[in-house]
Amino acid sequence: MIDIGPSGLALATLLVAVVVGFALATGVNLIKDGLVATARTTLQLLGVGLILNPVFSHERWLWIVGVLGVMTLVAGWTGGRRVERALRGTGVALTVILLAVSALTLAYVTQLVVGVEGPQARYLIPLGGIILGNAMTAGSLAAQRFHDDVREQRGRVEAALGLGASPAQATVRPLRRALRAALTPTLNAMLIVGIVKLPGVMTGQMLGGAEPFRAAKYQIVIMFMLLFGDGLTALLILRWLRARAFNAAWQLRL
Amino acid sequence: MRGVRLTRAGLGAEPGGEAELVFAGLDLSLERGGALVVLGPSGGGKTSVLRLLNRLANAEGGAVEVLGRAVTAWPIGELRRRALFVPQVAQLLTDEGTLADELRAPLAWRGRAADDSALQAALQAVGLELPLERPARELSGGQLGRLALARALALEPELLLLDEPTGALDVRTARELLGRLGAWAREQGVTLVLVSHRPQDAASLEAQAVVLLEGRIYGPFPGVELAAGDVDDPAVAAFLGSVAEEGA
Repeated sequence: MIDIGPSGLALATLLVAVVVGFALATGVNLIKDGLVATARTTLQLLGVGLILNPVFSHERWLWIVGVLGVMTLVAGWTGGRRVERALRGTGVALTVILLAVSALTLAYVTQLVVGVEGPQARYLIPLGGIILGNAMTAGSLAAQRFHDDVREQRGRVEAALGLGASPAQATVRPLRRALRAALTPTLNAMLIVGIVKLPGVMTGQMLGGAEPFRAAKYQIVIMFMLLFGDGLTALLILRWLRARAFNAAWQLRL
Repeated sequence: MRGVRLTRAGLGAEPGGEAELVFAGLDLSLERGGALVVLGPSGGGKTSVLRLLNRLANAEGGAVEVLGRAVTAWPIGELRRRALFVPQVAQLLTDEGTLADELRAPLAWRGRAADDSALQAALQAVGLELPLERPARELSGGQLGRLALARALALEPELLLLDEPTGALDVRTARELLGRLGAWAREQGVTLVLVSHRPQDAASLEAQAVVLLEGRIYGPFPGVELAAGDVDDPAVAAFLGSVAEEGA
């Protein structure tokens, strides 16, 4: 793959400057947003690239697992922070679930589906990152949606409890809606993938010189892997929340 | 056997719920198969009494006994299958269900099925003569309240806790509904505790009534006497006077 030099990066930055300038001429000031976004993108990605370079060249389990571990903690912290106000401990629960789900998914896909041998960072880290990022979004979306729905529909939940419903029976509708909300982006993406847009991984592989048909097969595996990781994460966090939302006397605590 | 007994029962603010009047030391007693109307001004804690009885809320101190056992001694699922609470604001239990779906949903929670004739009978008992295949979302507020009541009747409760079941009904319809309900309860041997702000409801139900005023229980009085304003206690008389003024 052709390496991009400093002048190439500078020319790419010009694209941002042009659209920000055009917006300004139209009467919308995006200068600050544009500057911050450009700076953060550049620094974050160059930083990750620099850190990952040695990990990729040395191919050692410890380094790979370390990078994946840090990614999980950041994902758990970011996603958890968003849902922590729902119920104390949700952030920790989400982190633990993300760790378990992404380890399971990554192991299954790399060892059984793809057949990766040994500590190959170029498979493990990108795939792990995609699983984590998506599962984090799905998990925090599900948790937030369920929490908000149950709070909003408190009357309905208690009407069901009052007629003898168990907590699971009383929250079947909020749970269904939360799971749908969490999985709809992935399910929609599976419908249009390849037709309306080429996904990032496939694009990346083709840029890297891979034959499109081979890249397509990877993308199929990735879509199934994402649905599994997102769905399992959402279901586990929802079951955890549902259990914690009621006490032993089946009283709603949210 | 006792249907319901509160002994020095107190109630605190509920976690996550609306702040409700905090009261202590309530005493209340009702024979099994009997009917009792709890009257009082809104916000006075009437609903909380019902919530204690089906353990949607916990008593702070004192004892709450339902159907011969302390509420805390019942396995919670069993208590709530025997002692049903129907809230003031009727709720749909399904997203797009028909009347039949609404009536069957809580039966299904218990693994029970019901044929159409049983569902029709439940609707008839509350005077809601509508086809079972009618979408529940099309019901008016008053009809929805009756559907919620029919849903509870179809579950064959032993104790029925009703929060303002006549709130959305005019005086005549309320009297007719409570007449049917009282007859049904006596026939089935169901214990009935009903919360209302309308003294007339106690007379319509041919039940005893207590008045809950500022955390204190007055009574029981025969419902007919309360409805007629025939009470000596000045606090209760003042409450009845304020209700009569509102009605006028």
